[in-house]
Amino acid sequence: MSQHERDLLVRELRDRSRNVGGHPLAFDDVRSAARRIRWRRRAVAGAVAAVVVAVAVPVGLGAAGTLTAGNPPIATRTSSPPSPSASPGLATTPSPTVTSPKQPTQPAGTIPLTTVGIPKGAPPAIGYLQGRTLFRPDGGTDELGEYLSVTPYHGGWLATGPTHGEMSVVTIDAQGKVVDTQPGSDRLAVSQDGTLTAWVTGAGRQTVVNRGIGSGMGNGEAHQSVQVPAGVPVAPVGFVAGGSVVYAVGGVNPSVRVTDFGGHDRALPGLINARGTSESDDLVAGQISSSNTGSCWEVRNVTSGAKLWGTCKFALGQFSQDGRYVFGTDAYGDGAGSGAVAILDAHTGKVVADFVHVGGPDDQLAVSGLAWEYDDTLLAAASHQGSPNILRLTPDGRLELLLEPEHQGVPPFHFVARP
Amino acid sequence: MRVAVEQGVETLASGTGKAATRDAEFAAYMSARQPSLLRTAYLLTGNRHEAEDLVQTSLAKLYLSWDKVQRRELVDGYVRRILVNEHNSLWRRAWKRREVSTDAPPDLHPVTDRPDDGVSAALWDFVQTLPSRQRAVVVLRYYEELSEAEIAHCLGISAGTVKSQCSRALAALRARIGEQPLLSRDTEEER
Repeated sequence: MSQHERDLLVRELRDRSRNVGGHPLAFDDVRSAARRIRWRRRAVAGAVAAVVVAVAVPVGLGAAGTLTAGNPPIATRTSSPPSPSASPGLATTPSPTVTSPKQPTQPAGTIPLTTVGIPKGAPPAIGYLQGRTLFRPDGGTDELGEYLSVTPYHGGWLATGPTHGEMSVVTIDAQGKVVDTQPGSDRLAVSQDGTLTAWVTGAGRQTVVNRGIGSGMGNGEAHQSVQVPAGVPVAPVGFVAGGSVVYAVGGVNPSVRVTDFGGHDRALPGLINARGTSESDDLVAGQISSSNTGSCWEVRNVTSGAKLWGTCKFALGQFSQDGRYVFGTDAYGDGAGSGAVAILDAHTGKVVADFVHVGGPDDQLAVSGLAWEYDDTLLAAASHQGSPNILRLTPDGRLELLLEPEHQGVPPFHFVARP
Repeated sequence: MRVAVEQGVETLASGTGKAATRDAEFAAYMSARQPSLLRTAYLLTGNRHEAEDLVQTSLAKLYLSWDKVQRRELVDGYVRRILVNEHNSLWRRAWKRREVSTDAPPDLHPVTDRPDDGVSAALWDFVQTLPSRQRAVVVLRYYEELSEAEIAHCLGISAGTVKSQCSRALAALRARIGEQPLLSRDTEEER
């Protein structure tokens, strides 16, 4: 049935690439790029490995390099914890292979991020999509369809995902029937109390940021919209004080803006992207620069514009519901997802827990999604050695594996959008 | 020649021949595989400059891992995985979006030597509208000719997802053919 389409594709791909080639890159170029990446990785991991190895004390290290004892904390650091707020019971250990250049070593001060040899935890307390199925926290399931994000809306659901080759926002009723599909962004944002949802729709020359009742059976007048620059990608980031919505604008001149849906719409100077907001503390975690080897981010107050702190070690994400923490991932997006997850103090930038996966080419772990479960538990959709699962990470360094093997088969997981 | 000179510098700097041997191995691999990687990268990005950037970053990461890749026969698969996943990474996608979101079309200068009556451009447009991961699946399946299992391993997804992504891409192409007189004509000619 599709042999002809296949042939067309094969021929086009071959023809299109035929005259592309040559050796535009010199070895020196590549080696220089490698040095920059290595420098960045060292900056991320902490550049004092030698000192840490010298003072580290081996405690309870299992054969696989992870603690398997039943008593919490569950995971282990490779050095003294980076923050006084971390649990004092966390074990320390030297890197057993530090002298061998062929063996990857756990960066100092980090907790091994792995799915192997860690305890089982309770099922996720927030829903998640796996394939077409929504797994609810109460153990039930709904067949919704393959979406990237979903959140309760008007008694049904609001979802985003590719439809006929373009990103769409889909409204689904309580019976699971699609009642509306519009071109839009892949992200949704939910207010702290869970009553408001923000999303972006747009087609052609019109792009609109929407704010509407998310829970219960809201009525029409509760829905508000504001038109924003058209022709470029726009995505909601999150709610801030007063119910205003921060949104990211792509295109040639990317920016981050905030709107109150009442005529006040302004840019947040210097930000080119953002991934998280704290409504309770009126904060935004935004990107200020990027390069071929990383990116720099900062947390600032949305109303005053005051910078609280900045980092080039992590790409900052969402804040915990209470605004105490913000998570970070690799400053440079590497592979299918991040190989590291950090929990930072949202007000100081201090690293509270730094989970890093270390493995060779045949032992890769990638985190493709993160969501705060409670104020102090973070869920990570991770794929390790080809097996996807959900991990629970905590500020005190705990790491748990949440899904039974029979649930692991179909990646990826997408967490239900929530405050 | 330039590589050889740089190897000498590395040797002097390190004071051992080990680094030079390592770099020579890597340089040889890079020389042999760079054109192929560049072609794949071009199909993934649709832009020559982005393709070169993608290949450079991928080779740099391979260089950093060179000592860890004990089995040299696995290098191709490893660097391909870096290349594709690097392209798919969220951060890079954001920047790609930033760079191509202009009124001007992306790098569309023809690189084919067959007469183009618009069919090729229409097909290439179609490929470029595919979502990033679906496009990667298409390139790996129909250009690199990898098996579904190999693609699944490369992208960290299930073989079923690979299959469904391919099916969707072909279905979308079929729909596009229905909408595009040029493609339809091409279809009729071939039949």
